[in-house]
Amino acid sequence: MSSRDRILQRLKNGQSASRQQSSALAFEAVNGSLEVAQFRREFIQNLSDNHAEVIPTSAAELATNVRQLLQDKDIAHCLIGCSAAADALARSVGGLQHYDAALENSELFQQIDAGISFARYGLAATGSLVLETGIDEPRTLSLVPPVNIVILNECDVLADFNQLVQSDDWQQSFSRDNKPSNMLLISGPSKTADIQQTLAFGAHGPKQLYVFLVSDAESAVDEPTAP
Amino acid sequence: MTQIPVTQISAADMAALVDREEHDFADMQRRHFKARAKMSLENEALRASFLGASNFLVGKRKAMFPDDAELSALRNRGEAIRQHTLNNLPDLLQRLETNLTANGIQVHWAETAEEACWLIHNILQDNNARTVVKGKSMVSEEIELNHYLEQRGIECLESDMGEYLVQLAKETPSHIIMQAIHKNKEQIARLMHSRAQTSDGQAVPYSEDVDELIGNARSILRDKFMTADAGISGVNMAVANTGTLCLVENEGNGRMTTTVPKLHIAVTGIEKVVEDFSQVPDLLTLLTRSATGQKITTYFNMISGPKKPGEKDGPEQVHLVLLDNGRSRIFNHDTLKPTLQCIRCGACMNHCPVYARIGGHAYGSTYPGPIGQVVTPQIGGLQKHGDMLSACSLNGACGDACPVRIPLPKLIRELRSEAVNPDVNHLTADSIRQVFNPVLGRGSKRTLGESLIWRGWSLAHRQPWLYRLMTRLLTRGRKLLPKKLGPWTRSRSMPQAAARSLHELVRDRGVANELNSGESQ
Repeated sequence: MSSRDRILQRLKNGQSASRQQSSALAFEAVNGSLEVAQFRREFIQNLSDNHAEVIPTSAAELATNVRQLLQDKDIAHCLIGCSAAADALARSVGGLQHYDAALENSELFQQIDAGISFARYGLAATGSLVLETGIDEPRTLSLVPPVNIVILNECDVLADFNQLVQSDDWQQSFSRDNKPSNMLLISGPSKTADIQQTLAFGAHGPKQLYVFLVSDAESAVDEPTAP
Repeated sequence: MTQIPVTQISAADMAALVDREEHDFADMQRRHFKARAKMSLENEALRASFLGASNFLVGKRKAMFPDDAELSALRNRGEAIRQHTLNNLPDLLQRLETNLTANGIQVHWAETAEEACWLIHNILQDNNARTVVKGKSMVSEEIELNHYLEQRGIECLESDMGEYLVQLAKETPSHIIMQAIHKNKEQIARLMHSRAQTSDGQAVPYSEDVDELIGNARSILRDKFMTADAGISGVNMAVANTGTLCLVENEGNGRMTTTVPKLHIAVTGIEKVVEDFSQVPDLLTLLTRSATGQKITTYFNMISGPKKPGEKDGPEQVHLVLLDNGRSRIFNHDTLKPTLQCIRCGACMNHCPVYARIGGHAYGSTYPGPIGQVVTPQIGGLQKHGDMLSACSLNGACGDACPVRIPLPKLIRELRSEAVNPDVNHLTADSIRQVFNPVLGRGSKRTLGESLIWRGWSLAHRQPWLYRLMTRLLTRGRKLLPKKLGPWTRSRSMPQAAARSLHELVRDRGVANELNSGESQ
């Protein structure tokens, strides 16, 4: 008998021990209280509270605003993924480096100043960006460079994480064979309060997080159905 | 950056001070619980650190739950989710294994700490991994993985800021969320300057500025992430239906550990599984708000597989080690089973008046505070860890704070009773289940003196003539009773027996003894 079988056997033996009456609550999410009209304000407020900077922009001015930010922050080496949206933005901004092949760690850690990521959704109640990494959106893009820039369409801001996991879009992505191998919620720049409860930013990941909230873009993904 | 004045002591003196702290810690850990608690109570700096941190975290949590009704609804939901997991644990674990395997994550099972270490070492060896970076994992502390791997020539570096500092100091965490809670920034400044080295082998410049301290640690650790052969992390929740490992963190070291090295090994207890993603958001919100008073942490990392063909980064292999180490034994105990509902937020320790005073190291175990008092004796045995059960005033604050409603005071009482219960051969029929599932070391704290006192007490209350004799002796001989009773009377006055017993006073008032006078009255 393997360790696995012995552990499972012991658990099966003990399943009758003080079995709790199954509560319907286990299947019923606690509903948030946010109205659609509040999403944008809440989202911006929560992200700002967590020391991210939210920059509202129109789709037409996105490239100009990104270019301006890179200039202001003196960012020379900026990485971007390979999705259609990334290609389009890279063409308009110019001077960006496509993350289209594996990079040496030394280059990734020491030479890249910023990474531009695309969020699939935003969550208003917590000010979270939902990133699905994959072939066109590498995992390290939003992690290793000291500055992280994230593009999000305003129409993709949802109420909260509960609404997201109940959406058809989420359930489809997790039921297919090709599941997103690394889904992320990002809610600010990396931080720590491990020294005497004093908050410090830039613990291991990005020291700064800029979010471009695009007001009039068409949703890049299918609208999720409200629960 | 503002220059903070440095209390000028020489580098050698500073190093000596750091060595002294290490020595004191090692010395303390060699002692028994009572001695450790006493040493902590006498250390003013330590008490200030713990009290400050506890108050800070209690305040932050309180601010996150302004609405009692909402908090109550969330706690009910959290409890229901965790109970649902326990009701279906063997099935959920098998489903988790099937789905993880389908996603390309390799699953291993370990019955004991030793087996988990052995498994992890084997995976590292198979991949020629010599250097490991670790994300915060209390389970890896529980199995003492660093020690095991270092003995076998594998460098194991903690990357969570708190854990990194604790490892540098050669100590152990004193809290499960804020591992270096026991150190103030002056101590940390001395520690970094004396022991940390930049990648070019230089000592880190002395600074008491928190941003600088973190900045220095950041650059040292980023160099390690860049070159490490493997990353080892914990897991906060494992989703059975999708085969997903979820990690909660603020620093980004968890993502670094699970993303940058070619090999990622996660290790977690078998109780951390949840059935479905729909149960994750509410547990997450309970966890972060209870632990650090945050609406959400910076990162919530959901891993459903290694790097796929065409991906530019991510680990080539992901392994999960599922650890039992006594958990299936807890699962079989009628009263103690809710121990496994725990989501490791640490709210119980933040709210515990005893923890706030004696601190995490006094417990001498990986998990301190109320949840530690419940988990540790069940994993390591009452013989070795039973003493910590006395460090509780049963005030109930931990149970009130617990986001998944674990009845911690009840569990502590149950363990106290297990500790002094006669051995398994003397069990009565109504506790027949426990015949097979006693807590390890059941009855090991039983003493002849204490059990005789209780037996006498019980007898005196069952025999009326004995009871009358006892009250007569106590009232008439009250002048002869001792004026002091060990440590109890050091800060309290000794209770005095009355001149006459209640029975006598009532009889004098003409109340008849109903028992003797029969039903005719």
